[in-house]
This record gives sequence, structure tokens and C-alpha cells, in this order.
Amino acid sequence: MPDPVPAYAELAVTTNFSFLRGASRPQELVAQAETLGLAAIGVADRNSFAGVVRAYDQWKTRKREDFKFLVGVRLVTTDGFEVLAYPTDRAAYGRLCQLITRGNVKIKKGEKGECRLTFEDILSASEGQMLIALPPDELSPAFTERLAALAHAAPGRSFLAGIHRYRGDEPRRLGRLDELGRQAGAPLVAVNDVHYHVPERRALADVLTCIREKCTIAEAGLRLAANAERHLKKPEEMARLFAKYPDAIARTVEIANACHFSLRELQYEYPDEPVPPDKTPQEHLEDLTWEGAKARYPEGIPNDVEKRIKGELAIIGRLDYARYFLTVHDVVRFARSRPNEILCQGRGSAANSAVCYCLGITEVNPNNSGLLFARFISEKRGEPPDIDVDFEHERREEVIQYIYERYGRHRAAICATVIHYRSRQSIRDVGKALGLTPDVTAALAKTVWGSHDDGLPDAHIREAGLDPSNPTILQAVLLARELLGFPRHLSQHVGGFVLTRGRLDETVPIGHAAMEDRTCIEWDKDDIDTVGLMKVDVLALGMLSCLKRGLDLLETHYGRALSLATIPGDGTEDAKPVYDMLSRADSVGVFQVESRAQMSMLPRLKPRCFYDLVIEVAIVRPGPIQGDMVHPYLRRRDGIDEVHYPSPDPAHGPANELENVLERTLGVPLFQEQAMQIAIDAAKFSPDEADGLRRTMATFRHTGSVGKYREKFIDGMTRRGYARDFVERCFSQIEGFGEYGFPESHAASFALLVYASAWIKCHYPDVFCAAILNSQPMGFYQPAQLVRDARQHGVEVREADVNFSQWDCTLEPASERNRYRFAVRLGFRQIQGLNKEEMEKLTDARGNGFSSIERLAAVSGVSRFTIERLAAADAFRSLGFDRRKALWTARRLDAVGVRRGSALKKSAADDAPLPLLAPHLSDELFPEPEIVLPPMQLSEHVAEDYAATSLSLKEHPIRFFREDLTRLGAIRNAELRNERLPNDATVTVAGLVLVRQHPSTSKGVIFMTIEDETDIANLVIWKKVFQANRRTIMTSRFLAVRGRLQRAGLVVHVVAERFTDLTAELRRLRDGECSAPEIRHLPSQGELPLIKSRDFH
Amino acid sequence: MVDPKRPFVLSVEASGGPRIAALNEAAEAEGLAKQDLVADARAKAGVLQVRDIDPAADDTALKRLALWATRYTPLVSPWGEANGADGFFLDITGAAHLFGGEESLLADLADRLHGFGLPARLAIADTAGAAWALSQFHSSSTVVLPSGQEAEALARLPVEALRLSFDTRTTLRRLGFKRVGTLIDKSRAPFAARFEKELLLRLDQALGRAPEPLVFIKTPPIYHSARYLLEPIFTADAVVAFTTRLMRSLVHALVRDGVGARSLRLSLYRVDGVVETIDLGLTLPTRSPTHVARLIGLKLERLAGAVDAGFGFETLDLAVTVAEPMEAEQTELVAANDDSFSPEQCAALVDRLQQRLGRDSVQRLAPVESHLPERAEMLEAVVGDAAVWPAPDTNRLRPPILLPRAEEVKEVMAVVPDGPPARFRWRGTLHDVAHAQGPERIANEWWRDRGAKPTRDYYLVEDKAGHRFWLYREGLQGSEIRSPRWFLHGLFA
Repeated sequence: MPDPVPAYAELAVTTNFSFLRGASRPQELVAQAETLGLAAIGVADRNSFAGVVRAYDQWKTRKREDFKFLVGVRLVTTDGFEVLAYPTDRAAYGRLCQLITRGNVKIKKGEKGECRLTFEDILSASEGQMLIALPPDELSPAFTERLAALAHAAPGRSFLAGIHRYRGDEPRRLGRLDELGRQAGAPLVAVNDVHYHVPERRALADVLTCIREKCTIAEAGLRLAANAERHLKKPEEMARLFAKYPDAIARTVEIANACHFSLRELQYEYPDEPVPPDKTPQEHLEDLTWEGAKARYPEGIPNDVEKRIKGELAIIGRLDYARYFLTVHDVVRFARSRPNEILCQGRGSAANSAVCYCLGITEVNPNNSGLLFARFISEKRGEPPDIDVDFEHERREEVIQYIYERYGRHRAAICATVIHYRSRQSIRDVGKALGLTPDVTAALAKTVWGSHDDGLPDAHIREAGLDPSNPTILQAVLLARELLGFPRHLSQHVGGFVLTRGRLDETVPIGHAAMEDRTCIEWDKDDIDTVGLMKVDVLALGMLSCLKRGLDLLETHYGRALSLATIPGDGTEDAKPVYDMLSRADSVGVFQVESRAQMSMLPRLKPRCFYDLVIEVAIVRPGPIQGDMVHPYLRRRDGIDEVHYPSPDPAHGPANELENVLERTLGVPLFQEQAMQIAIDAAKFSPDEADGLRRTMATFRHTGSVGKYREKFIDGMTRRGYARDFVERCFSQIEGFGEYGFPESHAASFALLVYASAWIKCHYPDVFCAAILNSQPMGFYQPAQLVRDARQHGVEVREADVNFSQWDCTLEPASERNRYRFAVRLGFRQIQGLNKEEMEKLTDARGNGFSSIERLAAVSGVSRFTIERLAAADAFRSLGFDRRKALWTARRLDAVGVRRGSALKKSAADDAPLPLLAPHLSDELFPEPEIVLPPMQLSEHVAEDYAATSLSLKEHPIRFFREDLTRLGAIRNAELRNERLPNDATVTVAGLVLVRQHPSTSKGVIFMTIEDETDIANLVIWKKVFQANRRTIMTSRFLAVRGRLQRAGLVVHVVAERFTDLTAELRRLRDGECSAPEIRHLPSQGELPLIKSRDFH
Repeated sequence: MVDPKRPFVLSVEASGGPRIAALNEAAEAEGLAKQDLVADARAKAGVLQVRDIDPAADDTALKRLALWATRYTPLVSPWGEANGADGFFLDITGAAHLFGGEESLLADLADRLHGFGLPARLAIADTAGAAWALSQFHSSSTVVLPSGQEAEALARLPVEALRLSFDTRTTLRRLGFKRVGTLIDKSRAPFAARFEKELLLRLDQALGRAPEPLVFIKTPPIYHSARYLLEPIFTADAVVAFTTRLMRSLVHALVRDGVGARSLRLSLYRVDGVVETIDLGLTLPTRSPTHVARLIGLKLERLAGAVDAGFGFETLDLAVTVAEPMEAEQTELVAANDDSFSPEQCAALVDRLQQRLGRDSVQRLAPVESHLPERAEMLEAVVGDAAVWPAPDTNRLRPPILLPRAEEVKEVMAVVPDGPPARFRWRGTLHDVAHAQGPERIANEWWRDRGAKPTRDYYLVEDKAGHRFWLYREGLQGSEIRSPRWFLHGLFA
């Protein structure tokens, strides 16, 4: 009879959240520990709890009930003392969080580095912790002393770790440690200092060491571990290694049993603030909801709405979510109640509920969109509701500061975003560690240009001119693939706030965020979901700023006071022109539907009502595209195909089981919710499994389980009689949703903004133009295109001028003949290199206008640099100076003694007397010989306009080349729309390159947009053509393209065949005159910016 | 290796990532330009070769070329930053006729530079500024500007030809003054009121109205000594003897400058005009005439028939080709019979061995950071000072004698999975183990050992006779290998 195997718990586990140290994911470690039959696993990362939630999440799926999971941390002091700490209860856990928070605060702003702890810090937080000191390589008296101090501070709870390191001296070392521990009162505990779950990860661990130490593997030498022993080992193996110290093995389990803390204890610590003292949260929420309902339906709440609200409130009550809704409401109420209202809009699973509509969290009327609240909140899964709120992007900070103020910095912080290794970075770092030259790693990294994380297939490697069978390259590729998805560092989430009832720093360690006045926790939003903390997403949206500005301008200039909720929508006579405009793809600047892909979809979808916009927003996404759902939907919409619903074999279920799910989208799944519902209804996933599937696709949390889900999904549906093709497309669609999951609830919220922005653009293009220019940078187009679009719609646009412009673009009464009442005056913000404060000084000092440059300089006190910038932008026209004369005058200001440059020092500028001569400054007083400046040609002006303001109202640059282009056989872009040009005709077009795109869904196809003086032209470049013309396509700014015209309805493309790079010609704009033949031109450096293309790789 | 035919750029760190500092023709053909971000450049060019720029090396190379150019005139001034740091001025006043006039001097210079693989742009003018401008902007790569035509020649060139700061030249362009000609003969005051001094100064310098002082390169000292003999010599001994004298005559200059010779060239001029040269490279700098002479002797011995004295050598010429700083030596303080082995003595020995055995035949051991014992040291060429060996790790003993190749031992008895051997047979003898320590587990170096070499467990064992061995088991039983083999890798005293 063999001895029974003693139980063993591994208490020293480092995961890959100890960045560049651990070589396995928390999930892998926990799963492996369970498989090996360990009694417990304690996860303890370096001064961090960042990985424990993932481990906990994995542990929750355990099969062995008696398998324990311990939350711990490996505390490392700045002078190298290391101790594992396991809290025995909630309070002790809170102390550890506070300890780490304190250490994080000590990191000075701007410097990278780890949490700073001292030994004394650790002692002060030792209450309630099980502490296992990790001995250094060389035992020293200093260590002995500290061990004793630790044991004195935490008597009975202090231990000394014994690690069997296979270094040849184990019996002696363990003997010494055993004795040392006994003397100090910290008995020996067996640990294996695990850094990876299986020995095969040693190579990756070595690579991580190299990345951390910034050396190559050949240089790393003794910094690497000598062997692969730092993996999880079976209890019997550990018992064998510690055969002489059975107590050290037994103690592991004793320690595990002494720790009672679980992350479950952190759940639902929702704040109480928004609830008045005499009410329960549910009562308060109900009161607010009915109050809001009355305001929404002044003529009485319709019956079905009332029923709906009651149903939702009942669910919220049962799940105890009232405080969550109240907190979101509180934030939204703050934004609304600002003296100058901050525009906001909620979205997310719970946002499109009648309750949220009544609370004013969203303006989407759920009755119009047909969204069902119950679909979004699963009662079975205790997952908290999710509402994201978008705010005007420039004013979000006010909301954030309000949250900090209301809940206190000790209870509110931003959650983390885990930055993962993606394929490029992964191969780059691994390649560097293996000593590949930067050229080779760059070539390898480039093989994934534009594509997502599908690893590095051999074909790509060969394409890069490298040999995939070269051992080092092969090794690099394999290791890079292993590294894929590993966390690299924590960053700050864009706006996810976590709020707690008690102190947040007792719930999770807080660190300083990169930005001032921000604090950031160690967990990301999935972690927060898992633990069940309260999270509110406070996001920034440029379009909301634009809409706010638009609505404000509308009120001041046209006297129409409107809000998002009151913009005339479906059913009003305003609506038809808006939908007409969108159906023409006349959507430059309109939220979400202005991209090229959306623009080619609009004429095909021809939206006629709000729900069409919901679909429009959702359909041009990787999900529906990869699932090949777009065409079937359009064909059904156009009545070409009949609507039918996929159904199972009658033996397995009712034929209409999906009708409910797919009704609104003509039987074709388009939204993420639909795909998930199919998984539940047709593939018979449990709601939990469906959620697991979604999360698998969305993140790297459950790598490796995709295959499992895929099999279950495809088997589940095909076995029930669904057509295999449909099933596979459904799964591809789910894969497509991946990280860019786009649920219907989001689409509905966005669709509202699509309509609002389209309405302003359609009915008030002057307002829209000013509003969107003042909200830059945002969206897809640059000011030049936005201005051009406005002018094409008959809006008068005027140049920035020192006597008329404000910082922002403004509206001025239009000249008589104009269609719209107002003209847009460009603001100083369009001029590059100006400072807002300084320009406000200038406009404040302007009075009735400046009479001269000298006067302007003296009175406003702006710097010469600024005056030269204004001259470069040709903003002195009202003084009778063109840019050249203005610059000539400005350069002399110093010499004639005009003081300036103090604009930013308010007091100095106010107190300083004006120079006596200032009013009389003119050339007569300081006579100088006249210099005739060379006259400037229009083309030069245009080039300079572009250089200073990225646009020109004088002329389009391409106009100057028109004759040459005609000689080349090029037609104007606008002519492409000419119906007489037959489909498939060979055409030549030319223009400035605006956009280059290489979308991941395009299979190597490049899209390019060029612009001439008449219109833009859209080019499609097949992979082969791209490869043959790579240089021209990637580098030119001005080109001519020959290709075939492709027209489908209103959508026109040119499929490019041949390219001519004309970039060098652009120089002629600025040089004006011809250059002499005997002059050699040096290659220009960064000359002539004109339009800088936007490249999306 | 860099392939000069394919796009190749040098990068320099800048804000926003590395940028291109220099590029070859192939890269220009790909549409790349200076100042482009390397990351963008990689996206543009298919495959791009990138190396870091090394301004110090550029500077050294330019200086070296400038020194070479002193063959035309002693007055050579390498360009600093303001001139682009990529060329030099030659003051050929009074020197051109030595080369048959300015035109032929320029042609000769162009030819020679071309021979070095350096395509050059050359111009001769009365002023440094005009010459610079023409070299940069004239379409022809060699220009000789007749005296007094500066204004006319410059007028057509762009204002950049005046070597102006970025601010000045962009402002001039904005104002429409794009050619130098638009500035010449204009009233000066309006320009003086609007621009830094440099504008008018550079203009005046280029036109010869203001002087431009140049800083000329100084040639480094030359250590060189020759002896013309009345009677030709034939024997090696004679050559060695004269070499000693030549070297002795150089010592004073070497000591004065605090340098020693790292490499030397002895030229032997034969009566019939043939020149034999012998090059010496030394491990450490030296000034010792006897050492040098001895090395020459060894070299001659080794070359044996290769050096043909023919009718005898009539001139000997010894030159120090590389000199390096060398500490002043305290001679004669050390007792002659002191048997300590100084680094200098060691270096001298190495030099002598190298002369006799060939350069590559003399190597020394250097430490390498590796867990694998046989890789923990390596042979390297003897150059400069020896590496410092780390102190031995007392916890991980290494045997004083490591066998060149581990020898398999047989008949091993050991407890599974990782017990020490109880007995083993090595070189025919059976050893019963009395004591053992271990295992020390050392895994393979996976990045070098393709095909996954097994892990080793090392033991220090002592047999009953008191001999101590270092053995290892190859392969982890169970996970890596079914039945492990054993090897003896070292012996302890």
C-alpha cells in the first residue's frame, strides 16, 4: 500500500500580469492546478492584483468542489525583500489594497516604474495576512533580521518559503532555511515559485526575461533560469522534493484553509448618494421614472408604455439594480443641469429601456425602435446592467470632475484597459530578443499589415522575402504566437468609472493615471463585471460637441431652440428631405454614415425611417460583412428575394422559432443580439454559454475556447436541421463581431445622432458647417472637404481675417444673392500654430477694428510669431495687405520699436502704456527705401493657403493643372457621375490623395479617395495592382489613375489599373516661375504640405 | 549585411520615432526622403534596410578624407554643421599650378574621389561661399567659376545657396525672394531691419565683400624614420639591427606625445627599385626597439624565401602606421629577475607567438555567461586587455578540470527519477560512489540547440577511493527520455 499523497497547495504563482515575468495566463495556471490535483492555488503577482479576477473567473468554472483559490500578492520592496501575502479576510484584503495604493502614489508623475514599498510598509499592513517570506539567493544577516521582525509583527502567520531549485545544493539550503525559519518563528513552507503552468513555457519565460532586460537571448546569460522547473507540479512530486520536510507541505494547506477571503465579497457595493434618506432606492427610481414619463407624454402615458415601464421596474426591483440606474441618472442630470447644458446620450444594453427614456438617459423612444429591455438584461446571469453615456468631447472632463467630487477620489476611479500583445508588437519584441535584426523583424511584422490577430502564416512570411523554415525565424514566429494576447501593461480606459459604497482603495489598488487629476484602478471592465462592481462609462463623442454647437447657433441666429429630443423627426415634413439627402449619399460630416463604405451603402439601403438608420449604422460592420449577411438583406429589402426565416427540422422545434428574433431585419441576422439569440434558440446554448461565446470573441480572456464553442454552435444547429451554409455564416458573423461587437441598442442610440446631424446639415448647412469646423478634429473629413461640401451646397464661406474672425468659425449675414441667410466666417482656429488665449486677446482689443498692422501689434500685444502666422494665412486683407506685404511689414516691427509679445502676461499688457508713437506708426515716420516685392501668382496664394490653413477658398490646387491633365486624357471627377459614360468605360482621373484605406475585411484591396476641383473620386485597387504600383500608391500626394468605371446606382468607383505619380508637379504651384536648366534642385524636405492624406492601415 | 543596391537608410532618433537621416539611391527611387519617419518609410518601400546613423564615424571619415586632401594643399577645412558637414573647402591659392591648373586639379580630384567610390560635386570660385553654392546647386558636378563672376553666377541660384538659417530662408521665400539675384543690389537697410545679420553677411561673403575665415585641419604628427645605406645589406640580421636603430630614433617622439605604436610598416628599398614591405600589428602599444626588432626578425624568419634581398636593400624606412595613447613607463625599477608576468610581458609574448605561428593561431579564453559548463568560456582572438573573470559561485561548484568532451559512463545504478549514481564505470574502471551532491539541473539552450537536447542533472560524487567526479544524467526520466545516459564531464582535485 503506497502512502497516501499528501495534499499540497501552490502558494507562489506568478502570472503574466506580473508583466514580462510570468509566462502563463492566470486562467491557464488555475486550470492546470485543478487538473494536477492541487488542494489550492494562490495567485500572487508582483505588487498587483491585476490578474486575480481572471484567475477567479476561471476558478468559478471548476469541477472539483474542494479546489480552493486564494487571492494574494507578492510584495516586493524597493530594496528587494519579497514576501507573499494572503489576506485571511475582507479587512486584510482591504489593507493590502491600500498598501499597494500607497506604493503607487509614491511613483512620481511621469516616471515609469513599479509600486514603491518599504519593509516597514509591509509590517504596518500585516494584520490578518498570511505572510510567506521568499529568501534571497544569498542568505544574509539582514534577511534573518527582517524575517524575525516579520514573525514578530505577524506571529503565527509568518512563514519562510522553501523552493527546490535544482541547483545542486538543495539539502543544505533547505536545511538552513528550515533552521532559520524555526529560529525566527517563521516555519518553512514548500512553494515552487511557479512562473508558468507547464515546463514547455520555459522558452517563452526566457524571451520575456530578455524583453524585460532589454537584451538578446545570446546576451542574457545567467539572467535566464538554468532549467524549466518553475512550473506547476503535482502534489506527489512536491512531496518527493520535500520528503525531509513533510510539515512544509502540510503547512501549504493549513495556510490555504486559514484564508477565508473571496472576491465574491466585493460584489454590489453600489453607492448610496443619489438616494434621498427617507426612501429606498427602488421607491426613488420609481418616483423619478413616473415623473419623467409624465414629462415625456404630457397628454397622458399610453397604456402599452405604462405596462412596459411597470415590467421593467419589476425586473430592476428583483435584481436590485435601482441604485445603478439612479447613479447613471445622477450623472446625466448633472450634465443637463449645467448652466450651459452638456449634451449627452446613453447607449448600451440597458440604455434603450422605457425607464432610461423616462429618466432622460437616452432620447431613443423604445416604442419606436421596438427594442425589448428584457432581451438585454438576463435575469439568470447576475450580470450588472451596462449603460455607456457619451458626452460632448470637450466637456467630458467637467463630468469626470463632478463624479470625483460627488463620490470622492477615495471612492471613484477609472478602470484599466489591458494592453495586449498584438501580432506586430509580439513579433517585434520576440524577434529582438532572439537577436533578429530590426530589418527582419520589421519585415515579419509587416506581414500582418492591416490584418488582425490571425497569427503569422507561412505564406505571409514568404511574402516578406523570408524563409519560414529558417529555425530562428520559425522559433520567433512560434514564440510570438504564444506571446499573442499576453498583457503588456495597463492603461487607462477611455471613460469607465468604477464607483463603490465604501473606500475604493480597500477594494482594489489604485494607481495614478497618466493624465493629471485622474486615478486608475488595476482591473479592466470585464474584471469589474466579474466581480460585480458598479461601473459607469463616461465617454467623449465629438459629434455631440458638434450638435451642441449647431443647436446653439440655431438658437442665436435663427431663433429656433431645439434639443436632441425635439428635432423634428419621422412623421414631420422635415423628415423627407433628410432621408432624401441621406439616400443620395450626400452625407459628408454626418455622424457615422460619412465613411466611404457607409456612403456606398446609403443609396442601396435608401433609408426612409428611423429604424432604417439603425440598420444602416449596424450593417457596415465586420460582423454582417464577414457573415455575408449584407447582400441577402438588401435583396430582400429591394423585394428581389422573398423574406423567409431559417428553421430547424420539424422534429426538433417549431419552424418559426427564429421569426421573433429576425422579424425586424427581414429574416437576416444583422445585430449582435440576434446572433446571440440564435445561439440560444437555435444552437441551444445556455444564456451563460452564449455570454461566454461573446466574451471569447471579444477579448483574449478565454483563449483556446473558440474551437469548443464553434463546434457546439455548428453541431447544435446542423443537428437540429438548419442549413449548414446558414449556420457557418452565423458563426462567421459572430467572429466578425469580435472586438467590434455592435449591438442593436448601440445602433439605435447612434442612429438618433445620425438623424440629428443629418437634419442640421440638410436644413441649415451654414450652421452645420460652422459647428463641425469648430468641433475639429473629428470624423472622417478634413476642413478642406467640409468647407468644399458646404460651398457646393450654396453656403458662402469667408476667409479668416484679423478684423472679422473670432477663434471659432462664426456666422455673418450672407450677401444678398445667397441661398442661406448666413455666411460662415472662418475662425482663427483654422490657422495652424496660433494660440487660443493670444487670439482672444486680439479679438478683445479689436474694438471697431485695427487700422494697421503696427496698430494691431501695439494694441493687442500679440507676438511677432503670431503676426507672421496671420500673414502667412493671408488674414490681413481687410487692411489692404496681401500675405507678402503683411509679412514684409511685420518683419519690421522690432526695428521700429513696436513692443509686443506680452499678450500672455495679462497684467503686464494691461499696465504698460501704449508706445507714444503707436498711433502714428507708419512708414512716413521711419522712411526707408522702397523694396518692390515680387508679385504673387494665384497658384502661389493657393499653395500658401493650404500651408497655413489646410484649405483655400481662392481656388482648388488642381485647377492649375487642368490643362496638363486634359492633355494626359484625364476627365474631371464630377464627370464620372455623367450617365453617358458607360459602365466599364476606361477613364483617367486625377487629384490630390485624401484617404488611403486598407480595411481588414477587404482581402488586400486598397481603397483610395482623390479630389480635384470638381469632386472626389473613389478608387478601388486590387491587390495585384497595388503590389505593382506600391510606391506610387503609398507615397504620392497627387496622381493620375487610369482604370475602369464601375457604377451601381449612385455608387461610382474607378477600378484602378495604371498610376502616374504627379507629386513632383505640385512644386510648380509654389515656385511659380520656371526654373533655369542649369540649376540643380536638391530633394525637397517636407516642402508643400498641401493636403496630408489620412491613411488607415 | 547591407545590400547597397536595395533601399537602405540611416536613421536618427527624433520626436515621434526614428527618422531618415540619410538614404541611398535605391531608397530615393522608392520615393523616400530625408526626415521621413522610418516607420512610414517601411510601409512605403517594400523591404527597407535600416541602420542607426553614426555621426562620430561620419565625422571621422570626413576628417580622414580632409587629411587625404592635403595632398593638394595644406589648407583644408572640413565643413561644420552650417555648411552641411558633408564636404570640405580647399584653399588652392598658389597650389593649382602644381597640378596643371585649376581645371586639371579639379579633374584629378574628381577622378580620385570617384576611385574611392565617392561621387563628388566640386566647384572652384574666388570665395568659399560661391564655391559652396555652386557645388550644391549648379547642374554640373564640376564647376570652375572665372574670377569676378560671383554675382552673375549666384544670381540664378535659389536663396538656399547662401547657407542661411531655416527661418531666414523660409521667410525670404514667402516674401517672394526665391533667387539670390532678387537680393543682390537691393537697398540694404530694409533687409537689415527685417533679418538677422547672417543674411547680409552671407551675401557679402559669397560675393567677396566680406572675408570668411576658415578653420583648417591640422595634420597629425607622423612617426617615420629612414636610413640610406652606403652599402646595401642582404641578411636578416642586418635588417633586424637597422630596424632596432630606426625604432630607437622614433622613441623620443613617441614618448613626447604619450603614444606607442600599435602597428608599424617597414619598407625595404632594393637596389633594383623593388620595395618590400613588412607590416606588424601589436597586441598592446609599444615603444620598445628590441621588441619591434625581434618581431621583425620572427617575421623575416617566417617569410623565409618570400622576402628576396636580391642585390641588397639600400634604404630602410620604418613608419608607425597606427599610434595609440600609452602610459608613461617606469623603466628599470623592476628587478630583472622578478618573475611576475606583467600585461606588457604577456602582450609581448603574444606578439612573438603571433609572428611565429600566425595571427589566428594565438587565442585566449574568455568567460561567457552561460549555464552550460562547456559554453561558459570561449576562445577569442587576443586583442587589447583580457576580460575579467567573475568570481566563482561557491554554491554551484565547477571542476577545475573540465573534459573537452563529456565521456559516457556505463553500468550506472541510480534511483529514479533523479537520484545520484551509486556506481559507474569510467574508462574501464568501476567506481563505487561514497558521497554525492546534487542534482544541479541545467536545461539546454533552446535557442541554439536545435532538436531539443535533453536536460542534464549534474552530480558531484566522491568514490570510495576519495576521487571526486562531476557526472551528469542526460534526459529527465519520464518527461524527456525513457532511459537516460550518463556522462562524466569533469574532475575535481
